[in-house]
Amino acid sequence: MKDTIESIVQECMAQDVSIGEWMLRREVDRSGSSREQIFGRMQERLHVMKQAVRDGLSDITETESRLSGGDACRMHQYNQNTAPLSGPVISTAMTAAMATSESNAKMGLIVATPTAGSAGILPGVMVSLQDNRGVDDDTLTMGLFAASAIGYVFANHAFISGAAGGCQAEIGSATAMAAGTITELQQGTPEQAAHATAMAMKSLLGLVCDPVAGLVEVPCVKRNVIGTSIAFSAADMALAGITSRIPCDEVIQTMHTIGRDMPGSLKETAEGGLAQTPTGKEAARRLYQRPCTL
Amino acid sequence: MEFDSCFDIIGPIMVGPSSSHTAGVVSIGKFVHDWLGEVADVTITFYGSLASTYQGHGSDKAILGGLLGLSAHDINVRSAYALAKDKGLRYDFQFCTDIPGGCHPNTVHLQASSSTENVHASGASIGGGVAYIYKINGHHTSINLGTGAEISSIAARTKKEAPFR
Repeated sequence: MKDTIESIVQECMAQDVSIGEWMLRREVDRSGSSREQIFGRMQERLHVMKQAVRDGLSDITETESRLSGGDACRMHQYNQNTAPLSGPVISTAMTAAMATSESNAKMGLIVATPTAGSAGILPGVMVSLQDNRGVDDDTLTMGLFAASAIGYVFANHAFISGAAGGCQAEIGSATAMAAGTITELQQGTPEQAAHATAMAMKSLLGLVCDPVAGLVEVPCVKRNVIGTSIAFSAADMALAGITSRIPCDEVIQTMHTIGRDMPGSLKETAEGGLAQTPTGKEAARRLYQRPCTL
Repeated sequence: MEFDSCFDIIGPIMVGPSSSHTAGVVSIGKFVHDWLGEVADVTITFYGSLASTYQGHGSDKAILGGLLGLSAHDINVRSAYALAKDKGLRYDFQFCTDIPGGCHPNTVHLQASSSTENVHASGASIGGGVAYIYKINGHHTSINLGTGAEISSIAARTKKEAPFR
């Protein structure tokens, strides 16, 4: 029997533990490794995420394709010189997400969360909560366990790759994981975290995977950035006591159904969507002028 | 269940930009490196999506990095061409945007040799950093190179098994 968001929330309430704690205990049981070893492995991932943000911010070069690069630095400058309309929490997260995704596009070291294409959202949220709310590394690490519990349900009941389910499966899953995680880190209940997860996912249902020239750059980088603001909006709603009228597991099931029905041209093949705009096609033509040699 | 560990979701730690076109490709190269001990000469054939998008995804550096013994989280993958030159690895790339019948869109074929032996291996990078080796020296097989896989011990173990002994 596969775990559902509902079953995890019920177990958390019965045992009076957080979703993160539930996932950590589950990993101890399944792996046979000690709690300290597993916690350490997750904390190592947090440190890689934070380093990826620093790397991305200090590198203003463009990628080989010239489709991305340098925007995290622009965003950072803007945050320093003005009071961003989105406020410090979201604007910091946007900058950190952009830095990570730009770093990823340049073959920097990142953590797939849950994939490389959606690797900016969780680190963006983590860095912002630390910078603006003083959340320490150990607490953030527990947040990553919560994120992995949510992602684990998405991965086993729907999909987490754009090739399988469209962008809703990548940016959608990552944003939903981040929304639930923020809620938990802000002392929301497991039930509230589930509502935040559902509300974030609902706002991204149907999003297609249409990368220009097949690269993880356009529109991926900016979707990571905007994913952070959706995650914070969904978490704020849940913390205000607002619920998703459709239960989280039904939303996840819906994502699966939509992904299954989505045409192949909109699932990471670069045969549809933004990839097939005149500008998108020109970018691809510029990059790939290689005849088959066999 | 395909995804069981929390580290299947938060991970792998990897060099970008793509878990399927970069991280999984490193693992296929590393399998052949670990099989031979050291690679002196190799012909790399990228098929399908790898042939059409390898440059932007760094799949060429990924496969060379793996063939030089690097792992998917090793930042030196980025400098694989320079490392190959330093180590005297002779390589030749072939590209075929068609996908061989029944194969995964991300397929790579390697004909590699050390100073003492040869190996022909075919692999596919299926997503999330997970790769498979599905043919070695003409024999069909199914070796999972998962995100936490110890590739060197898998290669050593496979080599001792029939029909590869």
